[in-house]
Amino acid sequence: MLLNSLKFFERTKLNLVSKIFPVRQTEKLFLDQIEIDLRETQINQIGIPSISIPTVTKDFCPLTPEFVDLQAVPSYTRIITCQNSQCLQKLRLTIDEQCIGKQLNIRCPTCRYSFIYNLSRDELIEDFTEWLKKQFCYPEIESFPVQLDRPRTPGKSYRQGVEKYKQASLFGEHEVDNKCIHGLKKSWCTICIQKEKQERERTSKVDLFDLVFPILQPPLGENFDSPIAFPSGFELYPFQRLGIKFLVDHERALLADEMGLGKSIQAIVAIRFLIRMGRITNGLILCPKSVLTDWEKKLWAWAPELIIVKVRGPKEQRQICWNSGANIYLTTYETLRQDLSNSIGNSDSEDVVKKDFDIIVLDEIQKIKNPSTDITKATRQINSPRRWGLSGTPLENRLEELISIFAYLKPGLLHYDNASHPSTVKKAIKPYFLRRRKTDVLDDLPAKNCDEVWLELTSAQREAYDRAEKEGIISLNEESDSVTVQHVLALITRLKQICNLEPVSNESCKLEYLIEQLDGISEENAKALIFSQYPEKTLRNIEPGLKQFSPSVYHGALSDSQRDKIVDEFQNKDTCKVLLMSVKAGGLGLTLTRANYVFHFDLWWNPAVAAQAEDRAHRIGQKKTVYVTSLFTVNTIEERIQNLLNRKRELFASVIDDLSDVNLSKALTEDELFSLFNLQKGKRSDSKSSSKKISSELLNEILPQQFEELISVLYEKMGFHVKLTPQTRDKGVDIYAKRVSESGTELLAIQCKHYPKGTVGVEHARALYGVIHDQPNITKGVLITSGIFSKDCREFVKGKRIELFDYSYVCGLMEKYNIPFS
Amino acid sequence: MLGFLALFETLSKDGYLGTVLVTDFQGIPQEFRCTHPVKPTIIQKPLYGDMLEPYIGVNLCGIPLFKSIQNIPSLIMVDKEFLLDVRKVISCPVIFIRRAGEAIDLKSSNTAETNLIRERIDCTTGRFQPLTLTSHPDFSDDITVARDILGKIFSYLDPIEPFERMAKAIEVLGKQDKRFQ
Repeated sequence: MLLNSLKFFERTKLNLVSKIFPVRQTEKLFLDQIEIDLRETQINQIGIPSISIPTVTKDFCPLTPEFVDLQAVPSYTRIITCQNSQCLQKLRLTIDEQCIGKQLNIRCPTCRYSFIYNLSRDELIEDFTEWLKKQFCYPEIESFPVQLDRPRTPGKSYRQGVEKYKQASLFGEHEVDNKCIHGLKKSWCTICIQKEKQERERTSKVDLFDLVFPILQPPLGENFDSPIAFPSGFELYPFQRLGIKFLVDHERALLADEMGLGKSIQAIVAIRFLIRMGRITNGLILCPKSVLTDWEKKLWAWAPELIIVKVRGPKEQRQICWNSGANIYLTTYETLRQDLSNSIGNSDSEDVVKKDFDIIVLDEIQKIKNPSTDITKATRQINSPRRWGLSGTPLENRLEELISIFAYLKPGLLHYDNASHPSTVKKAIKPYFLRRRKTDVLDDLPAKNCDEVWLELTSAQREAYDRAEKEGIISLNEESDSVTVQHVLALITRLKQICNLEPVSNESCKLEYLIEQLDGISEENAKALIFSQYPEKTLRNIEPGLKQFSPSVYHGALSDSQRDKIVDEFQNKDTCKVLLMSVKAGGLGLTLTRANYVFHFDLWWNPAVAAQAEDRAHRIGQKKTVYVTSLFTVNTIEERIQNLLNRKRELFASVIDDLSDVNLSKALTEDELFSLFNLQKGKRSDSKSSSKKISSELLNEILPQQFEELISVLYEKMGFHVKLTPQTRDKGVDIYAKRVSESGTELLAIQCKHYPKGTVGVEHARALYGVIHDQPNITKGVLITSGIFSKDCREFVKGKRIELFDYSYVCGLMEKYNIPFS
Repeated sequence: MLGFLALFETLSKDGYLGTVLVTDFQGIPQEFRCTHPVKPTIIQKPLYGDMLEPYIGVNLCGIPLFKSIQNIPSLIMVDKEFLLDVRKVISCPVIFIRRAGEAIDLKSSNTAETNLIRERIDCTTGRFQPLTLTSHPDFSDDITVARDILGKIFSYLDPIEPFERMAKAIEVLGKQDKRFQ
């Protein structure tokens, strides 16, 4: 209709356009019912759990808040209708995650009709109500005690009261003992037995308030001038006060005053001073066995308020001693070594290993001059912030000894490389070293007159001596290739003993001289000390000849009480005029000022040992001039040795007393010893010196048997007599090595393990320990390998009589002793 | 005999120990007692406030300690002013001593010092610095007793020094036994 109303042209144009660009008809859309319906809404719901009544906790202390990572774990609910058309009850279905997608067998609680219901996740409603109930608790109200508890008031009255005497009962206590509060016999009740044990342990320990008693004392004052500082009659010399100040000011110190100047007293007073200042609480004093009682007496005298525990006796007793509280523990080097050895691996014991000492004092510290001895190793295990050494002769032979001493006193101060530089050592130790001589500090100490008496051997002695020397030299010459220093020393010992006394006829020029002298000494009511290094071969044999002077013999085999008794009698009884002493056992620490005559029946190699012995008499407390007489025989080995000793004496004086530059590395050489008998040692090793030196590669190539032979050669070179055991059934020992020296016999049990580049385990050390454990005659066991040792193995041997030599150490020894590898 | 009563903090600063030392007139210890530490909780501390130390020092430590000693001293010296309150319970004169001119901890002083009776004594030998004595306000006669006693001993004994010994002893006890830590 519209088109007809248009003009023709317009209509034609429109038709044309419509043909070229036809108008597209619009689409008609019809919405389905499903598309129109709105989707059912999903309902989330949370039920509010009821609020519980706040409660009061039993624990009054507020707890540290606990942070919990919460993880929302909903349950699901769905309202369904019972499918019983008669019922149509609406049911609330609560299910867990696991049930989704499964067929649920539902029984209507109203009509008891059962039907199967399948549900999908879409039908479920998430419900956090139960989860919230579990996670969120309402806070509990805490209650805190306001009242502070009244503390106990332990303490002690130090006034001596009268102990209440308790009348013993014949029957009453017995009856009570049998009854136990648990209705059992006391001996049957484990609770009561345990209680009694604890009570015993508690009461055996020292009261804590006794330990603090010294701290509660009035201060001693810086100059020890307080009227209550020392018991009456005890006074210090000015030089001793300086020594005490030196010790107090130095945590690490070596007090090397000459013998008899009261080093132990200075150490005791310094310890007492530190304890009373509260700077230390407890300490350990180690000393030689011979002076243990002397130390104890001095501690009682100079520090009566301190609690002293002397650790001696059987193992069980020592254990109790270590466990009891004390200000000072006093024991010997040997006891410490034993107890350290026993306590390793014994975790239950509460003994020396677990003790912390505020201070350790080493009397006669030259005992640890040799770093390889067990005593040195044991002592070095004791750690303490304060370490003091006392010695009148810290340097006996070589500078290495002083270095070893300072390795414990002040680790890192000196190195063994310093041994060839005495000036370096002198400079390094100076701040920690104090030495005074009697001549410098004791104007009123009586003089010490030293004299040498040279005697002719009796005819029987001369005959025996010449024969022994001739046979000895012939023997040494015959074995010139294998002769060692030990062979020479053995001959010297034999000859010196003949110089003292001819064993068959008992003739002795020295004894004859001594009896003459002692007659005069006895008449003037004086007393004499006679020292020898041979308690059995000399002292025992001359004792009958001195019977008229009621002599006592003091030697190393005596018990503590026997030693104390002898010293006490000599000091206090007029009848005992002469004391025969082993220079080793009696030369250290003892005070024997009752004697003013000292005779050296023979002399030790080392002049320092002789000087120590003389100073038993020449020390503080001596009122008379001390006469020291050394007995020698002319045209004997003694005369030749004396020349060597004079040289050593000069050395000692120059380094320790003046700290001058002297090369101390070899005070007594092998050559000097051989020259005593006009022997030459050169040819034993020179011919082979050009041989190829051992190297680790070559060590790896040899057979086990060759390795054992190599070790035996090494020990021969070291001066031992060696004996190889059979290859099979060797009872755990490959080589026995024995060496006799002036200090005794050394017997080693050596086990070789040829494991090139391998590791020797603890089982081998255990096996060796099993062999030597029950054989006290074996000085120590040595486990040697061409490989290395496991950590367990190294741990196991600590504190035991076993040494470990690994391949590098063996190679070092081979080179040192110039062992040819062939 | 002389008595010295003090209250010390533990090494860990979480408690207090009361101690009493009884000496003769030479300063030689005759009896020493100390309490196990009283350790107030973090709640108790603010609840007691400023009264915490006086309460512990007097009620929990001072009075029980004094009752436990076997040697009754003729004068008790305390190192904190609040400890003077033990005088309310015990019959022995109690005096608070401090070096003359020493700064006062106002926090521990529960009384304005001007209200208390004070007296200064000097060492006749000049060996020790002068002391200021303070008695409990209700027991003003104590200061007379203290002056008489201290006048005799102050030439050779410094009454402040024993408190240092007690502190060291407490330190050692703490190291030796956990019950005193």
